[in-house]
Order: sequence, then structure tokens, then C-alpha cells
Amino acid sequence: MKPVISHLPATSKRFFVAALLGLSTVCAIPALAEPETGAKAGGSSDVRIISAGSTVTEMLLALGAKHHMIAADLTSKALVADTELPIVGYHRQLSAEGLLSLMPTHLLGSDEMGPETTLTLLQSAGVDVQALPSGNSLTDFNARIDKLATLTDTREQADEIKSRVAAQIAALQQYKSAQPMKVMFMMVAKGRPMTVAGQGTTTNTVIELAGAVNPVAAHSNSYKQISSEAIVQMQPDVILLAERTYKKLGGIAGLVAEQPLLAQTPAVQNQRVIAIPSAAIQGGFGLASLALAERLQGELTHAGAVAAVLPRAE
Amino acid sequence: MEHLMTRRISLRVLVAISAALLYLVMAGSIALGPMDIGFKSAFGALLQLDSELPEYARVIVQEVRLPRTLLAIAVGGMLAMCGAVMQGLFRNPLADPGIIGVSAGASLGAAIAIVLLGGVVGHTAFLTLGTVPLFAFIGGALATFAVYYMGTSAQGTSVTIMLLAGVALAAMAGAGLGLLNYFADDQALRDLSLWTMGSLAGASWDNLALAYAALLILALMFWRLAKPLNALLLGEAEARHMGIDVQRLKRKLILFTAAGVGITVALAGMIGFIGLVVPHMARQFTGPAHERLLPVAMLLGALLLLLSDMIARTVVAPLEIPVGIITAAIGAPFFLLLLFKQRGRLA
Repeated sequence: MKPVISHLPATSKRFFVAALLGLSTVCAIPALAEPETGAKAGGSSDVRIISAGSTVTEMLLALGAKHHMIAADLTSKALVADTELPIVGYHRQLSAEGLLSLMPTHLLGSDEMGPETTLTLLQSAGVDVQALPSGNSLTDFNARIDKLATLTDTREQADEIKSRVAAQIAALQQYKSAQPMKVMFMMVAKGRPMTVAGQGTTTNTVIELAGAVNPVAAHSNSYKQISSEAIVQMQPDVILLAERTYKKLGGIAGLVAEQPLLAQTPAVQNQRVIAIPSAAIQGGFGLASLALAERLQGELTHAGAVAAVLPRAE
Repeated sequence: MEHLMTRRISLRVLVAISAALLYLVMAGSIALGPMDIGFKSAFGALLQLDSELPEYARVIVQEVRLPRTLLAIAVGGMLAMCGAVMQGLFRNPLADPGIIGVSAGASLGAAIAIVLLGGVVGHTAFLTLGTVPLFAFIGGALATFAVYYMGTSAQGTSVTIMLLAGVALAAMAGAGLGLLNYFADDQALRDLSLWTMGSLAGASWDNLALAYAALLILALMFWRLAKPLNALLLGEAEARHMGIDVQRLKRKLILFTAAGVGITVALAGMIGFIGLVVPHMARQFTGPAHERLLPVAMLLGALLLLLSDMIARTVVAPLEIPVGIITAAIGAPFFLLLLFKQRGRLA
């Protein structure tokens, strides 16, 4: 406001100051009338966690520590859809005050959560902010679960999950094929080139864990648009689609109607188009992704045609 | 002049009214938010009167709401002033700071930082810490320099050529942006799209110093150039006859606008409509004379952005809407309203 004052003759300055003073009085009236709120600090020593990442949310749910969660981010939306938990927005665009208003004790997410200003502010307000390792490896997975288990006092459940996951991965890795199947995940939208999952995507990890190869991995390290010609050239044995897409297209016939060139792939010719739940491939590798890898491997090792829609876990 | 003054509301009253409104919204912006602190506690925390208040209330008021409020005022004020100056310089009511290529260059700079550098250094802790704002500022400055250079010949600077060069440069930057978009991974893509919508969430005491230094310098410089800018409204030849060094004037105006807009983009991302709409709003009350227009535009710009930010922070709390969406949602209908009001006069 300084520049304004410097613009004006002295009389205006007085006017300006008088206006400010007058208004502060007006503002004070509702302030005085208002009862004191929001000062309910301390109280219970409960752990109140805001989960800013679907892998954290998934793990907390698996540990049976749902009651410690007071909010989740957008990437966890599908996981907490059946609960009343507030959604605090995208994990890279968290609002400091929005989060603080929920009075959390912990903010847990991946190292992608941010922005930094928000994290710093939360820390200065006494919130324990932790970025848990979000990688796909068993080590990262165990580190993640250990941290959450200690925090929520669920060590027993954690050990159980850890041994189960280790066994699952070991079992998955036992499968070796001389000629691994070529599996591709694609997003199909009307009138646009198809988008396929490359290296570095959760889908790619699922495909590899299932004992198959992703022919796109050599060409792209994320989700990229690709021409249908290139897909035909890669000759995928299996095509994965998100459940939603699969339903929208109305099955394999709809897929071919949308992208006629796909009829030239072994996947379509052998009717090996599989719909997978999106929640298993979004927001990083988690328990749902592991379950998906198991089911996929089961379908791949099956002789003959693959069921069009994989049954959901549980 | 005397005749004009009687017809219009006096500048003092206008400034007092808009400053009063701004003050009111400022109080609201400090007192209201996703967390229910209450007017009294909020001001207690602000002035550190109440030692009983919990730490989080103090952090929210002093480290979140106050810096954000102050940043909104500085950014809104600068954008509106720069818009008013651009509209005067180009003698075109549709001119906004984007016209000299600042916005396009800044987005390209930011995209380079997010997509290319973000990929190398990793996405963590980076977005608010300077690389992206810095690149945005450099991109904006380079683009303005290029546009100015293309528009300038031995005969002086042609605003028409600058305008067209600005369009071409924006298209080129758009192509670069599209290319970066294509090669970006999902995270960078998401960051990029959030960045282009603008946000005041990055406000901190560190960047407020820069914002207010810029606002102060800009306000003083534009204030000093207000009368020559009025002369420019009559036409370049006329201004020259009045003894004004038009070339120097143009260079100064462009330089300060580019710096001002570049700094706002660096601090808050792309916030549309303030630069375009607010000068029109202000002109309704002040008329075209810049010494009247600029201070009122500055206050109204601050007011509109602050109001928008309040809405952005509170309507969907604990989520936050990018403030650029709100400024457009509030500003555009208002702009249309003005257009309809003026339709008779324009036709």
C-alpha cells in the first residue's frame, strides 16, 4: 500500500489512514461478538494421519489402521471411496492450511508430495511430515510397511503382510518361460492415438512380475501415444485395458471397431484382451498391483483362451 | 481539467473507497480459511497478543494467511498496473501483458525447468524453491527482449510490429511447450498444467520482499510516466510534438512491464484476466488519464486477486482451486457486463 500513499497529497494520506481506522473498528465488532473457536489443541495423544499417496493409504488399510487416517489425497480416492474420509487434493499440490485445519499429527506420502512450502509449514506447526520410499522393490515395500506399522502399533499385521508379500513375489518369480508373452497396456480414446505404458510405469512392473515382457519398455519410459502401426509391428500376445475402457468400448469387438489395425495382432486374433482394475496400476506399486500380477500370471500360464475380464481380488 | 473533475468522482474518494474495500477483504483473508480460527483469535495470533493460542493457529495466520494475503495484493496490483500501461502503450483495449510475449516466454521457461531439469534433479522439493520461477522470469524477459528487438528499427519502435511479433513468438513458444508436454512424464505434465493455472500458495516471507520491492518501483516509475503516457494516447506524432522522447518512453514502459509481469509469473504462475479486465473496470470510474487510472487499477487488481484467492482457498477446503480459474470466472463475466454497457458507445 506504500506506493499509493506516496502518490497522494498529504490530505489524501490522512483520508486513507482515517478510512483504515474506521474500518478496523467495523471489523472489530463481529470479532468481539464471536465466540472463541478452533482453540481445541492438544487433548488426545492419538496418531492422526493424513495419507498423501495411494501406496500409503493402501498399506494403512491393509494393516487395519484405518481409524488413524483422517484424510487422504486424490490418488487414494478409489481406495477410500466407501469411507467418509475427506480428500485433501492432489499430493503434489497440497494446501498448508487445508491440511492443518484437519489437525493431523502426521503427513505421510511419497517423496513426490509437495509443494515444499506446504511441507515446511506443516513441520513448523508440529506435524510429523514423512516421505516413505515409494519404489517397486521389496526393500522399499518393507521399509514402507515397517514405518507405518511402528506408527500405528500394528507390528503383527505388518509381519504377516511382509511374509505373505515375500512369498507372493518368490512364487511369481519361479515362473520362467522360454518364450515370454508380449503384454501391452493401452488407453484407448475415440479419435486419438492410443497411449501405451512404457518402462517406469507400475503397469510395466506388473507385466514383468507376471513373467511377461512389455514390448513398449524399450521405446518409452512413461505413458506415451503410439501409432497403431507400431503396435501391430510389436505383435502383442495380450492387450490390457482399464476396466472402464473395456466396458465403454463394449469388449474386443468394440476395441477393433475403434482401432481396426489391432485385428492384426495375436492378442485380438486369440481373443486375449484383458480388462484390469485401474486402482491396481495407479499411484505406484502396492498390494493391489501385486495381486494383479498374480492373476495376470495365472491367466498367461493358462492353456487356451484367457477370460476376458479378470475377477477382482477378494 | 476542472470540468473533468466535476464530472467524475475525485481521485481521493476513489482511492479511499478502493483502499477501504481492500482493507476489508484483507481482514477477511486473514481471518477466514479452511481452519476455523475466528476473527478474534486470528488477529490475536497476527499481533501476537494472545499467548494462549496454540502453535498451529499462529503458524496458519503468520506463515500461511498473512504472506498469501500480502502476495495477492502485490501480484494483483502489479498485474493490473502493467495491464493498464500496456493498453495505453498499444492504444488497444485488448492489450494485456501477455501481448509483448512475457507470458508465453515465461511458460516456456517454466516448462523447460519442470520437464527437462525436473527430470534430471528429481521432482522433490524443487517446484517452489526457485528453479521454476527463475526460468519463468528468464523466459519472459528473453521473449520481451526478442519482441522489442523485432519491433525496433532505425525509425524507432513500431508497436504494431511488436504486437504481431508478440503473436508469432507466443505461437512459437506454444509449439515448444507442446513439444515439452509431449516428452514430459505424467508427473511433469501434471505439474506443468497446475503451474499454468497460477497459485499464491508459494507465498513466503522471502519472496514477499521481492514482490513489494517490485510493486513499489513499478508504481513509482509508472506514476512518473503517467503524463507522457497520456500524451501517447493522442498518437505518437502528437506526443513527439509535445516534446516527449517517445522512443525512450516506450522502452521504459516495456522494460518495466516485462519486469513486473515476469516477477508476478515467477512468484504466482500464470494468473489471467487481472491485467486485461481490471484496467477496464478502473477506467469506468477514472477515465483514461493514467495518473488517475493507475492507482485505482492497482488497488482494484489487488482487491480482485485477493478476493479470488480467498474463494480459491475456502470453497472446496481442504482442497484448493488454482486461483487463475477463479480470476477468470469472476473477471470474464464482469468484462462482458462492461462490454454490454459500452455497446451503444462503441457501435
